[in-house]
Amino acid sequence: MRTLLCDADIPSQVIEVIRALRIPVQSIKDIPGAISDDQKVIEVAETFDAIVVALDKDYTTSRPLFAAMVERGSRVVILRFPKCEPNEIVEKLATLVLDNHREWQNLLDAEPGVVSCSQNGNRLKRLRDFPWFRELR
Amino acid sequence: MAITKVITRSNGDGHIPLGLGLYLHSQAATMTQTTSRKLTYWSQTSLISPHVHRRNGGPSIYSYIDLLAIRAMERLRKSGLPLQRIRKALQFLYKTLGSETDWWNLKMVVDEKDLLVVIPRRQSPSGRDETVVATRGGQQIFELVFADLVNDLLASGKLQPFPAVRKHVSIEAGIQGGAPVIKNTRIKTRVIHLWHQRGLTIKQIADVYDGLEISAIKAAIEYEQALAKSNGYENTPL
Repeated sequence: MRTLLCDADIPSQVIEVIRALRIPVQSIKDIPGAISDDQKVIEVAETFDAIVVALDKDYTTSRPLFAAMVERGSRVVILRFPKCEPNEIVEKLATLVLDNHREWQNLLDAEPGVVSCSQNGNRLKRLRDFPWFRELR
Repeated sequence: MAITKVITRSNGDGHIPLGLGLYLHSQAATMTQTTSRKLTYWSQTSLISPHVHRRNGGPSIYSYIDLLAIRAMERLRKSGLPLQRIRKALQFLYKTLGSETDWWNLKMVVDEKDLLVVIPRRQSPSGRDETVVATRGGQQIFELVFADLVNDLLASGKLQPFPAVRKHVSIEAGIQGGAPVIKNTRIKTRVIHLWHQRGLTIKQIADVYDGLEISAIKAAIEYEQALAKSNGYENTPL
């Protein structure tokens, strides 16, 4: 089972819940040097053979980073914000991960790519399917 | 020389205030005494592009050097220089302003033939005033003292907006692909703003992120709200 490597945007309580259920998970902010260096994040994701989990806000800006990760063999999951009450945010995010992490492992098993995950399910896209990636190249 | 005036009008510690960026599009227009429309046009034509941040479909953020370049652009345009020479002059400006050189002592002179840069004697190896040819060809006579560009910015009286934002928000190409984040955290300001929009109080956000500083959260929200306001841009609907 691949480790889930959660970006710093994912609340720590969400990570604690996942860890409590013995699902392999690591927060980027706990990796020395990774907070201030995307390159380090890419290397760590590659070393762990991890699934990088991030929130979808500012996704446009982060596209080159995700592309670099996938090109180096990492898998990326973008979590779309669930609609909920303020006091449910942590719970809903954790549920989203717990309900879907097995499917991510399967979807991303054959080939690196980006999964967009929402309450409606998962959608896998390979890098070459993204118009922005074709433009980047 | 104008430099004396700049130092006495600077932030009191004897240094010309070198900003760290984070000047929103509308602020940049106000501070450089130009118009928002002109900035958009110059950006579209790649004359002066915002170097700090350019969010797709959203507002731009200019660096301090961009502000100086905009002022230079205004001055050079008034001199009637052809656009091609202005473009070359701006390229030179960016190269010089972004270097370790004591650029504020330099001046750019456009004479009948060439665009020259005058290096004052205290900076030149020979101990005399020296000139370097930056671009060749031209007709007008014009002189641009770099320090005057700083004076122009100081004249707006708004050189350091959002002190809290500057303290807590950083934008670096190597962190989250250049998205604005809370310093030393990788947490995007946009995410913090979204939590806030979703109804979480600042205290609740601090709890969600393991005691993130209240002042940093406030700065992130202030920054994103200013971005949303700039250019009439609104965040993605929830």
